[in-house]
Amino acid sequence: MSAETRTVGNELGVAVEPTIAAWAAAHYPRLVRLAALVCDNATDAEDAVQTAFEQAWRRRDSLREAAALRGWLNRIVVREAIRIQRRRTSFVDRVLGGPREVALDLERHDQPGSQPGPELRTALRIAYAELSPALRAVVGLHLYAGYSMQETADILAIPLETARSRLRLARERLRARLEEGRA
Amino acid sequence: MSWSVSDERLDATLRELLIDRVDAIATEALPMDEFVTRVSAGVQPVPVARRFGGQFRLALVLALALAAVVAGAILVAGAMRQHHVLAGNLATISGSTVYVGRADAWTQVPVRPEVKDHDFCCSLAWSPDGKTLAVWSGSGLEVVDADTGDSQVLVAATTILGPPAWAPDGSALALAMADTQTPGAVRIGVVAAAGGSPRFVTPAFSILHMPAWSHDGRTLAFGGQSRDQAVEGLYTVGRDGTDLRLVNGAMAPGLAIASQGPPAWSPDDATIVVDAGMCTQQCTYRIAAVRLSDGAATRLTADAVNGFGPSWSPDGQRIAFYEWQDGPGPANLWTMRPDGGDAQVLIKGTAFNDPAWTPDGRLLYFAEDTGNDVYAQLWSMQADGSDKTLVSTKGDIEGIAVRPLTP
Repeated sequence: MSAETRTVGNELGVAVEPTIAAWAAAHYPRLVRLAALVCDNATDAEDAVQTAFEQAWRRRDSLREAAALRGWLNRIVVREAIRIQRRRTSFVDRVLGGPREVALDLERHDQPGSQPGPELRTALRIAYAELSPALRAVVGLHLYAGYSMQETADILAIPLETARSRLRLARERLRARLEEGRA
Repeated sequence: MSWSVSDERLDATLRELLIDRVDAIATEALPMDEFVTRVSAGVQPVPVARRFGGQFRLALVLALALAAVVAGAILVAGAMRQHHVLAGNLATISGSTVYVGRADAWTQVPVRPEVKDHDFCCSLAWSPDGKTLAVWSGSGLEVVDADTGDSQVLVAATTILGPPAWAPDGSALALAMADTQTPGAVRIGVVAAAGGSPRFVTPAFSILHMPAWSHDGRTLAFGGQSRDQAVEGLYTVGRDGTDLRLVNGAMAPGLAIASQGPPAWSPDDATIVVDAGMCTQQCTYRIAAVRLSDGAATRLTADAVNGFGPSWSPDGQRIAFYEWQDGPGPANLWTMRPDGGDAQVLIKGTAFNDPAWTPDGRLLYFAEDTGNDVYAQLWSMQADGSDKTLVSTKGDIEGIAVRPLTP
């Protein structure tokens, strides 16, 4: 193998030639879905994944193991997705001077104390969109992607207790937003 | 009052929501082969220009600066030579009546009879060569030869959603249109100034506002809400319909981007200034500059200023905008520096319509209600607010256009 040849280990531990196409086949669909937990549109999700791929490609010498590459890509994609989303969110904060009240027209459909219907999904969709990118990431990684709290903390590079408190805070905010919408 | 939702129910509903959300975004994402092409391009070896580093960039910057100085000198000389003529080359629209002329000699331009019961009206814009007026009235989008009065309807009134914008080369106009083939869908259309069917350059949107061309004519910017998004954003798209890009997503339901005036491109096309409005019980507007390279937004107007409809002076030194104080109606007319500094009220409480700059940026034309019997008359003033002059006693002006510099 020449000095120029780059290798990473595949899932079977066999050395293979790394190509961007091979990386994409192995990781792109998963990473787009991971980014979509935080980003609001496909363009931003693609941007986050592209950034992660480009950074990983430049560091491919140190990312020879498939498991290392997978974990590293997960972390970078989520980090980039949060960064991109923060920039998007900051538009509202910087332009309009902070969070605004958004009326949720729920009174027409649900009575107090009743079991929630489709309106809960609508209200939750809006409330989730209003969560900060960091809180979205915890909720998405844990509830959707099925990562344990420890794995979620590892991906986000935060302490386990911080991840737990963020999940708790996200739930509180979602509940508060729903109640606010009904008030 | 509460939803009576348990943690389990909340989590389960959230999980369902996230599955839908992720599926929707993943479906929209680039196909893998296109993504590989894009990433491959992004990891190419460093270009020669970057290897040479600072020296190369310095030389490039100096060359560009020299070219800009020469071009600026030519433009300024031309503007000074032409100004006494151009200041009189105005067009105004009131309902379906268009006038072209000078302050002391107005000519009514024949346009087709107004179509009644049409909600949207009116605007007009000179072609970049100053020979043709695009008139949006109740009769549709019409191009009118300002010298002969010959006219042609390009787009029927019923499909037009907002004022048209001329391409910098004068070959086409862009506008927000209803897609009659898809109920509820709107798109940005580009129609050749010579006539023909409009060509859609965007996919279907739920909401679209007036587009604006970049100065190089390659890109259109517009505010709108795509059909798969719950919120509005500032978008750009290539003239040929490629490279649709969400430059900045507003991330708040109810927020409208560039809804009160078209996006305003900075002279170097690096920044787009827009109004951002939130309407709940009443509307709040702010003006922001959005950097095209990374979508970062900087707010330009203060909390107390309900500003909208920004437009750059041709020299790029000032931005004019309006401010409503008590809802739609007579407004304050402001100007400020491009960084939001030195904001000044030039007209307080009596201004109407988008202000029109002369090509040299020295004068502003605007409509004002001065409390006499004639509503919304045409006035001019210096860019600093001085030397206010009544240009025409005609009233009910709904749009003003100043003829561009002609060779």
